[in-house]
Amino acid sequence: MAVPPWFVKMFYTVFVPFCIIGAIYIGHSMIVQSRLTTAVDTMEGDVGVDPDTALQQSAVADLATRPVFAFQYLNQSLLQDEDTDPRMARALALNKALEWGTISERRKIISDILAVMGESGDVPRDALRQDWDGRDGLREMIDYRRGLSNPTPAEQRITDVLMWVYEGRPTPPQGPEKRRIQALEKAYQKKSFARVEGGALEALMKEWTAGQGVEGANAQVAARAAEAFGKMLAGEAVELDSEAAEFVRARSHEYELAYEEGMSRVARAARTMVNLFEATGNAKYLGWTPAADETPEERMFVDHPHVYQYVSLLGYRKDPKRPDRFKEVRELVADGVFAMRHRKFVLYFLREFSRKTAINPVMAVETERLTKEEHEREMRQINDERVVQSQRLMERIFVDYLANKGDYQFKDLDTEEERDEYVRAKLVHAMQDLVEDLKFGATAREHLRAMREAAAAAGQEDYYFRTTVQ
Amino acid sequence: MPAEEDYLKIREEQGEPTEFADGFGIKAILAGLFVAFVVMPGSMFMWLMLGQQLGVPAVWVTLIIFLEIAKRCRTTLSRQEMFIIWSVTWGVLGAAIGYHGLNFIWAQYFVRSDAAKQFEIAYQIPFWKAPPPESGAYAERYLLHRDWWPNLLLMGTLILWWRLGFFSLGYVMFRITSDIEKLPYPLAPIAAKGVTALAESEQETWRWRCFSIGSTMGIAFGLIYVAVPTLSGVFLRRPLYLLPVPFFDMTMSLQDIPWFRAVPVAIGTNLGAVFNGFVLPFWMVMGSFVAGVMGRFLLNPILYKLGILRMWEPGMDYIETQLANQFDFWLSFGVGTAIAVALLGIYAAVSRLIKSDTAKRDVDRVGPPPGRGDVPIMVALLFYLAQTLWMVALCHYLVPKFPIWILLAFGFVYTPVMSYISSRLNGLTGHRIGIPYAREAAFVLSGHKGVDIWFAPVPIGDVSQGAAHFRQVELTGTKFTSVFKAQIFMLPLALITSLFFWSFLYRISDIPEDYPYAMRFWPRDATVRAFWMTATTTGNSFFLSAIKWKFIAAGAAYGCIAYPLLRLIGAPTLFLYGTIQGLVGDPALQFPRFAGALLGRFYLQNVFGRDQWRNYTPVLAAGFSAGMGLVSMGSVAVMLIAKAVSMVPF
Repeated sequence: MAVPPWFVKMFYTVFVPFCIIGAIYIGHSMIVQSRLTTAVDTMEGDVGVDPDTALQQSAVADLATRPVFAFQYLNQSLLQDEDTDPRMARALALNKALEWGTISERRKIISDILAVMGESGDVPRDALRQDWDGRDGLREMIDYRRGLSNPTPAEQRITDVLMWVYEGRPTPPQGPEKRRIQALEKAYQKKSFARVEGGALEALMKEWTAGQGVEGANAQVAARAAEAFGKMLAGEAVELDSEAAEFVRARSHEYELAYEEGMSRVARAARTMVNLFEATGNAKYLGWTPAADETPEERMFVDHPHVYQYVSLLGYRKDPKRPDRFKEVRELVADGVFAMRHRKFVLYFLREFSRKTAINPVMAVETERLTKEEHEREMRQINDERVVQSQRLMERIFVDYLANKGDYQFKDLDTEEERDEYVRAKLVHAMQDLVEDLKFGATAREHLRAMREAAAAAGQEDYYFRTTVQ
Repeated sequence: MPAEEDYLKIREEQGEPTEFADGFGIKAILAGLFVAFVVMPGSMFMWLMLGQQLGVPAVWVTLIIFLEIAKRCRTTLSRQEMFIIWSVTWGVLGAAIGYHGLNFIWAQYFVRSDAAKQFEIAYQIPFWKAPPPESGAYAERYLLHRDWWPNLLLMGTLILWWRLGFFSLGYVMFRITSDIEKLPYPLAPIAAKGVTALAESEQETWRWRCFSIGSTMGIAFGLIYVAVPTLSGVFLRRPLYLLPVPFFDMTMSLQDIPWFRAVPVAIGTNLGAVFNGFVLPFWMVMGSFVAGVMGRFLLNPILYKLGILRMWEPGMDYIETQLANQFDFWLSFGVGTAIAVALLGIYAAVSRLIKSDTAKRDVDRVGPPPGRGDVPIMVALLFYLAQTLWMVALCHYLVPKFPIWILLAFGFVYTPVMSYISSRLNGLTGHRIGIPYAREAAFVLSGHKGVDIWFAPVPIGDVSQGAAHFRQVELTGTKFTSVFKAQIFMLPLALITSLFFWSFLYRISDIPEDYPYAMRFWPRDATVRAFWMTATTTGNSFFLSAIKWKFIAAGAAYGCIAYPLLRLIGAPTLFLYGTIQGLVGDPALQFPRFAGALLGRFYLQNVFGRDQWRNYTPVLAAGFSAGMGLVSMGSVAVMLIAKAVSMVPF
């Protein structure tokens, strides 16, 4: 053998134990990962499964064994797309089934328009006039689109073209009309049952046809709805009768509520984890020595990307049309971020998020369920909420800082002067920048006033607001 | 000869060495120091200025310089010593400027890039990849700042493990594909015989004459292809190109003809491809040409008419057309053919082993030849096991929320299977194969949120290059242990010197500022990279739609059905593997390679005789490469001097 025997012996001596230790470490990590994942799943809940208090407590106890890891896992759960949850997939599918009649009608209107519209947007003189049976539907569609909060420019332009058609084309076509109606047609193609929603509706159809999960008088209504679902999945134009629609609406609401409650539980657990590692961490910063049996992650190191992810949840799924939806999650996150206020990066990211008053439209993409415009609108809604929440937190933290400076021991900022300067630069200056913003300026001014008052009460107004123009 | 064994003859013609010698010694150490202190900074500078490394030219020039020094010192360099110098040069440059070597210089830019900010990536990059954007490390422009320590530690450890990994799975793949399957690795003799020819320069053998002829042709072509554009760029506002580089694109001019819609038409202009056509097995080149060119010419228009190629639009050039077609069809089909290669390989290997068993052949048939310096296979397997377990553990430690089972699947299933497939195709055709976007798809499908996983050392790889390198080592009669010693010597040297020179370059100016190529292209690369990462932040996973199961099935069916059919009609199996390589390869390269294969087979082979011509081809190709390398180095030197003495307006 070409390789000397001593080398082979040494190799085995080193690497056999190495492999055994590696395998044990990975095996143990898999067990920990599985335990944490199961605990997170328990907190999330599932279709027809809502954990009772005892189960929740046991899951939180499991999570509490590794608070920093658990914090990351819980954030992952909150960050998932909502249609990946089976309850929400069902709710989305049912909501779409409720709208199916309108969707079918609007598809017909769009195809009517496209059938007569030339490439440059020209429409024959007598087409789509008063006698067109799609006129009322078109008007409804225009009203619906005008009621959208935060419409994107592309959506606005499509609505303008629809209005132009509705008004009988008072001006000559500009050229891009057909392209815009085709974009709308594509958007309505999205309103069919996508993979996840289709699967969810099919499952519901089977359950309701078999009478599962529906009892008594509801069984017949559910069966009728299930029959309609079959036609919807086949792409046929069909509408739910009023009784079935009421039943479907109620079920959709139940599923949505169950999902929302699941996310609230997850956010609550994340908040508990913050408490766990912050308490340890604060104690450490204040000169407390960790116990010998403490594992390193309990000594509170949380890398800045995880802080970023958590702070970014401040605008969690905000929908101005339903402001109370996920409100508890947002409040819990805000509370958690406040609890993490002694971290330099919390201030840093709050400043970034409060000043990020616009989104990058390139980041909005077409997904399986949403058009690019819909995605962009969702992102904008969430971002707007995050700006406001960040401002609120900045005020809260500033006031707290003035009152409890001794608790704040930001890493790398050793002296109190450095910390004062940091707070001034990250909170006060950021808020002052925001005052000029057209959309968020008024709110910022309010928070800034509160901050100024707090500083004045502490006798430090001149220091923190010395460059203030107000 | 049965069709399945046509490649065995090619292997026989390569001339197996009967003796093996050690090539590592003081000369290799001096060569390593020369490359690390003289060639490396130039290569780094050139990479930032032009986006090209010195690579191939540096290797041949280092060899020639050491050969001349040896002559003047009245000593000689053996073939094995020359090969180890060749290997060390590649290794040092690869470790210093390769993907991992560049890691922190790129990271310091990426974290602060506009793209990372716009795509909301900047603050999500973990501390072990780069310090956060507000870190003092950037203001000080100091790579040894404590905020860089985690990255430096991680990078050093990973380079060490990856390079040593060459002796684990790469070696196992070599043993399977070369010792058991007897695959020829048709491109391996280029380096091996080139080195041999240089080693025999004093004896004026036929190899040396061939090498000189190849070098002369390389110098002549290099003057046209490299020197004129590079040197004219020094004096003129726009460089002068006598030939379009790297190909002559006809895609846009032909797409008005209905049949040429969605067809990428281009002819590669690098004469090196013709020399490759001389070396590669004739039927492999034929298969490659038929699939790469004729397949695209015939199939793409049909696929376009059927509405399968949907992304293509008029006005797209060769690259864009290729990319669009990849996403619509060829990517999925290529994955299917990769599956077929694996299945055929497993079938061939198992049947060969069964036959050996039945015939009670000597164990030496599948065992290593004596004196080659082999590592016991159990040692290699144990090292692979340790390496992969360590990578999985490290990756989990860095990204604890990513599912461990996916990491284990990458390390213990995907990597060995894909390495085998790729080694097998490399052994047959000289080209590798892979499943594009497998890593990205796993990230997205796992449901992971965050960008940390994109930077994690996920244990996914293709070690077929390592297997091919062992074949080169074997052909030069070099003991494997000397390559191992060279790796041990080279790694710390490459790491320390690259850190030193990168730090130096970073201190004198903020990279990419002052470097035209980096300033121009890094923002584009950063945007593309950040865009990919949004797949795990906003869910932009457009590439997942490129995975189409029916086309994957079609690709696998093609490979599995064509194999018995070709055997039935007595056609060479290399033709089949050629078609598989052609389907996933670059069609522009096929024309010159095809021309080379025809010229070699039907003219030059008649002139010189079949056996003699097969001996000449790798040496000619190596000489050509060395000649081009000399011209490239000369041109770059002039250009660097010109850049260094010219004034900039800011």
